[in-house]
Amino acid sequence: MPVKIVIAGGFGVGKTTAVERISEIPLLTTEAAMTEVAAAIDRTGEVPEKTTTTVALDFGCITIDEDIRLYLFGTPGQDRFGFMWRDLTEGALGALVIVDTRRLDDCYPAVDYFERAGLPFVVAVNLFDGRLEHDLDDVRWALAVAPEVPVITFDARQRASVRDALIAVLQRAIEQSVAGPTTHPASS
Amino acid sequence: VSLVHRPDDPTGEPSPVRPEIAAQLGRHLSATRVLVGGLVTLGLPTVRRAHQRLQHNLEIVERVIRGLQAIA
Repeated sequence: MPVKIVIAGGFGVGKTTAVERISEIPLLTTEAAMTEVAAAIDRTGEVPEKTTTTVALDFGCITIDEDIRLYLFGTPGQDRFGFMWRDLTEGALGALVIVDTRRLDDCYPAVDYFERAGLPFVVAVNLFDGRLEHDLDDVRWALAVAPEVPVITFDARQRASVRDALIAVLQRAIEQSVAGPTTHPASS
Repeated sequence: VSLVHRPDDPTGEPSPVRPEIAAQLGRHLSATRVLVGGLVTLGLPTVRRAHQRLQHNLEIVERVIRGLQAIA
């Protein structure tokens, strides 16, 4: 039985790295060199070392047991690829929204979408260089997510850290299933 | 760097479009749908639709959690 979790977020936040790090199969990815037009739109100046971007999706999988395989879909972070999100999130157990606090607004479209869809999600701040630039309470305030939405830190380069972030998504899915969907952001 | 508050969602749900295969083949979208449907019938691509209610199946979700916890 296939089940899936979606991994979303803005440009260059670590989605491809996270899927690659925990997948048991070689990552199926669609990284492509960025054009000058895309570089301007995606504000690559914030991450100058990144010269490629995902143009369709990243796909990985994990065998859970003899019956269940977990599929991981990394979505293109840019909101111009938002038309794909409905297909990718259909039937998903939940979503992991990866954020880079240097470019927090890049994840707004993903947060907006999952809130509207009522899909359980967790916000995961990727610790670039092992540093947390902003307090998690400040990130929560800036994203205006509901109090019950977990905001955590993780390191996309660490397999155990990605695993724990996915577990957080599933625990949130259980909580939301018991309590009912949250479709509106918190006011603050 | 200071943080700013996320603005209210300004957009509606994005509409799904699936013309990529048709564009690659240079064929009309309807013809592409027939072609893809024929390939599925022949069993060439395997098509699996996601279960809509799985996220409410706590037993399945808990099994996935246990499976992930077993990853070193």
